[in-house]
Amino acid sequence: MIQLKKVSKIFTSNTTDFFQALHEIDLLIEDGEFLVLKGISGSGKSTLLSIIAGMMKPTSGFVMVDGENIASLSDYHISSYRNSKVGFITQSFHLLDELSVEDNITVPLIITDLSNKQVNQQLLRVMKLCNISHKAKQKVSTLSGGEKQRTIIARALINEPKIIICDEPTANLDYHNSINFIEIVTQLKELNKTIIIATHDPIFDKLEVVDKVVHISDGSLE
Amino acid sequence: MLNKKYINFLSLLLMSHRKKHIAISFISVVVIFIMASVLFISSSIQKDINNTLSNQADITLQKYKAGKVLNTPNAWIDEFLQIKGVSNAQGRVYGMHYYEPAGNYFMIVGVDVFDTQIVKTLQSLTNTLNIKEFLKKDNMIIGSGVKKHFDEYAYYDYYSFRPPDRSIQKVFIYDTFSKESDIVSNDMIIMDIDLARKILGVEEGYVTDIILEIPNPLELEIIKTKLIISHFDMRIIKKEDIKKYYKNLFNYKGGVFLIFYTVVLITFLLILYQRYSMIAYVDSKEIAILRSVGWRIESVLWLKVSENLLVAIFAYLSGIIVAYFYVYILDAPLLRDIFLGYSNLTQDVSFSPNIDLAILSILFLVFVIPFVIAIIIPVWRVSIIEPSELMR
Repeated sequence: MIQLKKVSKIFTSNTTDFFQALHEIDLLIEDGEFLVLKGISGSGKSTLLSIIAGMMKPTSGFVMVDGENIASLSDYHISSYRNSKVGFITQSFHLLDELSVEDNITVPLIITDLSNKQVNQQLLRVMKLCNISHKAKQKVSTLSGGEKQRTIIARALINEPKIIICDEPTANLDYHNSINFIEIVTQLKELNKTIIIATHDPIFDKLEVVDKVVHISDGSLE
Repeated sequence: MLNKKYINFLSLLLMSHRKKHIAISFISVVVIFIMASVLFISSSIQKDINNTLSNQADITLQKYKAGKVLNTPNAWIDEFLQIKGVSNAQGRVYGMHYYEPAGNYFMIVGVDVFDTQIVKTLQSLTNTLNIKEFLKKDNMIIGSGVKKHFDEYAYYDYYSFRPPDRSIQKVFIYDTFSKESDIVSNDMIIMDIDLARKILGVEEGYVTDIILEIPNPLELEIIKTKLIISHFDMRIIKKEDIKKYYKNLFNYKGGVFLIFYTVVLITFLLILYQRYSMIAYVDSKEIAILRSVGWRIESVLWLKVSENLLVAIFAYLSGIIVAYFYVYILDAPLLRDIFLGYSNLTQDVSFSPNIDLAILSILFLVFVIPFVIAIIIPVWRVSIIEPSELMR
C-alpha cells in the first residue's frame, strides 16, 4: 500500500525565488490498484510520480510504502527501493543508445546478487512479455519509438517490481504502439502489480482495468 | 560487485565510449612516455656513470697556479708514494685535441701499457691488449664517437695529428671501444704515453696530472690533508667529487624535465577535470539512467573509477612500453642529445636497460591517482543530484 500524507514539494532556485509544485497531497493507493493521474502539463503529475518512485524527496510530508516512509531513507536504502520495488517508465527514451536491447534491459540487475542464469531467465521473460525478443541483439539507437518504449518497459519489469510508475508513457507513441502499451499494462494488472500512470492521453479514459482516476491541478488533487 | 555481469557491462561501456577513451589515452600515453623516457635515460646514465666512475682513481692531483692548471712534475709521484695509505701513484698524460673537420674536441689519454693501471677500465683494456702488437707502430684505441667522426672523413685506418712542434704525427686506429661499455669513453683516444706526450706537447719530466690509489676510504681525508700541507699549489679531486659533479649535472637535467612534466601533467589533469565538469549530455544521461534504476552513488562512482582506471592503466603501460622501446631499442633520439650534451661529441652510446621499479611505481601513483580523481569529482557531483532532476 502506498500512502501519501500532506506531501508538499517546493523548488527553490535561490532564497527568494521558489515554486511550490505540490500542496499537501494526501493519497492512498492500494496494492494491485491501477491509478491514472490526470492533469495538464505543469500540474505536478511528474513531481508526484517522482516522489512515489523515490527519485525525488518531498519538501515535507510522508510517503509511506508498505509502512515505511521512503521520504526519509538514505541514498543506500532509497536506491534499493528503486531497484527492487519500482519499475519506472518515462516518456523520454532514457536508454543507453550504444548498447543492445538486452544489455539495456538487464542494467538494473547488474548490481544484484542474481546469477547469470537467473538474469537470462528474467530477460527472456520480460522480452517475451514486451514483445521485443526479436530485437534482443540490436543496438537501441537503431530502434523505432515503439520498440524503444517496449525496451524501457522491459527494463522496468526485469526486477519484478511491485509498483509500476509510468510518466506520460504514450506521449511519444502512435496509436498502434499506444494500444500495445495498454495490452502490456493490462497483463501487469492481471499480475496484481500496482500501476500508477500520469497522462493526459484520452486513450486511458475508458479503460476497464483502471481502478481510480485522480485529477491534479496546480499541485493539488481535485 | 565485481562479477561477470559487471565486467561484461564495464567492457560494453568501454566500447561505447571508445572515441572519448582513445583521445584521452593518446594524450596520456604521450605524457607517460615523456616522463618514463626521462626516467629510463637518467637511471641508465646514472648506472653507467656509477659503474665507470667506481673504476676511476680515488684521488686526482693537478698542479695549479693562478687559477690555471699546469703540468705536474713527475718527481711528485715518488713523493706521494711515501704517504702511508697510498698504495699506488701514477702520472697521466692527457689533453684535448681539436678535430677541425667536425669542430669537436677529442680527449687523448696516454697510458703506460707496461704499468698496472689504477683506472680499472684501462687495466682491463691493457689486460686484453696485445702490447707487442699495439706498440709495433703508433696505434690508438678510439671511442665510438671518435670513430663516427673519423669515418665521416674516411679516416678508416689512421689519422694524422698536428703536435705543437708543427710536425705531422700519423697514428693508426688499432681498435674501438664498444658502444655499450662506457659512456665516458665516447670521445676518448687511448695511446701510448710517450706518443700522447708528443702530440700534446707535454715535456719530459712532467705529466698532466697524478692519480692515487687509496684502498681504505677512511684514510682519504687524512691523506688529502697531508697532500694539501705538502703542496699548497695543488688541486685535489676525489672520486666522490667527480661522482657528485655528474650526479648534479644529470639531476639538474632530470629536474628541468620534472618541472616540464609536472606542468604538462597538471595541464592535462585540468583539461580532464574541466571536460568532466562540463559533463556531456551522454554522460549525465548514463548516470541518470543508472541512478533511476536503483544504482547507488557509490556503485556509479565505482563503475566510473573502474572504467577510467582501466584507461589510465592501459595508457600507463603503453607509455612505459613505448618509452622502453624508444630509449633502449632506438637509443632515445632527440632526448639523448639533451641528456648527453655534456660531452663535446654527439654521443653514440647505447643505453643499458636499467628499470627502477620504485620510480615506476611513483610515476604510476603520480599519474593514475590524479587521473581518476580528476574524473571522479565531477562524476560524483552529478551522481548526488536527484535522479528525477538528472532525467529532465
